[in-house]
Amino acid sequence: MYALKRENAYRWLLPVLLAVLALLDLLLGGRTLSFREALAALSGGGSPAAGQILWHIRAPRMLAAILAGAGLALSGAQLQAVFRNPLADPHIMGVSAGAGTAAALATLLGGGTLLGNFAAGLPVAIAAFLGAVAATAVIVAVAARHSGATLLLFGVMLGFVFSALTSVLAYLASEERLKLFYSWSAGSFSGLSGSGLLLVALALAAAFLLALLNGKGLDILLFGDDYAAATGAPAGRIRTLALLSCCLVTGAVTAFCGPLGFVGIAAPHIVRWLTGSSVHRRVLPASLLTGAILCLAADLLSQCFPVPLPAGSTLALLGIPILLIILKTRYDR
Amino acid sequence: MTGDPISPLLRASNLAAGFGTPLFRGVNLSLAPGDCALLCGPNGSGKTTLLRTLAGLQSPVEGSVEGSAILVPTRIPKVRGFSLEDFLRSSCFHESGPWGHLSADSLRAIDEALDRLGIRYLAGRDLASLSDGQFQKACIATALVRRAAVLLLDEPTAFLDVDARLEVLRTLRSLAEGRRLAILFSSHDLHEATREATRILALSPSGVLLEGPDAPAACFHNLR
Repeated sequence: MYALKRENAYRWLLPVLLAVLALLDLLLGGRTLSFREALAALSGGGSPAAGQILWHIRAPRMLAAILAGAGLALSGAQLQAVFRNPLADPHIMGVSAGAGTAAALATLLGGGTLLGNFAAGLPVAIAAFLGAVAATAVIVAVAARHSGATLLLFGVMLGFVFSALTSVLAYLASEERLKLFYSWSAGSFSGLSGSGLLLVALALAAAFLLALLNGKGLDILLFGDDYAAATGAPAGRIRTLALLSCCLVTGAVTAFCGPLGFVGIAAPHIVRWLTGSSVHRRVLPASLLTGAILCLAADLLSQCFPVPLPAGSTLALLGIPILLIILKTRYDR
Repeated sequence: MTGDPISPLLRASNLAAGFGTPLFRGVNLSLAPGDCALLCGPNGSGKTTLLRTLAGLQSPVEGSVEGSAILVPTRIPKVRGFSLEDFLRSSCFHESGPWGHLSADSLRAIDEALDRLGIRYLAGRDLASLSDGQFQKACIATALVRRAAVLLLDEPTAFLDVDARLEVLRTLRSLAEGRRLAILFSSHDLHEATREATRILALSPSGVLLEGPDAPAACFHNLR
């Protein structure tokens, strides 16, 4: 009975929490605008400057946090099934590192500026996306022949190789460009404008559709390749589709927000704990919402300090204690 | 569903299979409704390869297999967060729609499998909370859900305690008798398995399939 109540509770708990945090992020997310000024601007009044800050700085940042969190959590949920490993996420698998290396290449060797408007940041975003695609292509090629621990190990090694290449590029760069790159690599939800938001939203929608259609295959992968073969499920095609979905959304998110770790690992674990289920038709939508909630909370936290902290850092600070508690209660039974 | 009781449901002719060098050659085997056949043999003699080849999961080097069979592999993990019913639904990969929805026929098959194996009371339980014996029955149910006429099981009694081993073996025997299925299972638990099996097959280290009560003794030195 308790499990039944808990299973039903998440259906309204997650959307409500997401809506509340989104509203709080608009009203409290930053020191340039007081709560009263933000509330007035939200209800259509207030000064033009307040409206400008609310709708052109805070709202896009809030939407970016939602999209980035949702996308990375969706990727994490799929990768954990593909590799049958609770540690798998786009950050660990080298997809983010591939995007990082390409972004570094574009930023440090003559690309645009990530901190400027969308058009100026586009070359770096495209480079980061292509980097994620390249990393995923290598992993997909290996996934055709290997699975499980071997594939995960390969992904981790690939991440190290890309990180080493990024370090070499950073070492060769000028101080000005280095600062620019590091501000991207720390992770931020501030770099997305209207067109960028639309691109990430489209990538997320496509990736989510792909993941939902692949959901029953992801369930089968959890029981091993022998079981998949016995049920007639094409394990190779399921893995490839899942990796493509991850690549699409991770590439788009990392391109604009930088490599954000942790949310991809944590959100699916929180969902499994909350719902008591590992079935993907429940885990995928709930991960989407939970990832968005985590990123919104991290953004709110990062804006509480006199100087806004990198979102990647607050994500880890906020989420690791939650994850440790869940792992303790879920796996120590 | 199970066809003419006299005609075999699965027939292998002059079968040879393996990776590179065949592990066995010239295997001729017929499985008829009601057969509950034990397949034994030393490690590495090719039991799993034979089962996989009969199930169509591996191409034979020589010979042919007529009829279709479903293999229940060994060591399926008990994934936490799946109820027994979720597990059975997941086994209907081709029978379900793109969003995982099942037809009335598949849902009826799940109901029947739960009843046939006496595990309906476990339907809502998490797989991680099932005993190994209960989970093995759940694995057998996944093949029944898919309307298997020939059921192949790779080491269904491995890692089970004595009670669970006997229960699983008796379940297999009763399925073969009651539903007119043909069952072929591999096992190292010769003492219990030979009592419950209606046929005894043994793969010798030299890659020959023998049949009869004395077949295991021809394959294991210490039984002679």
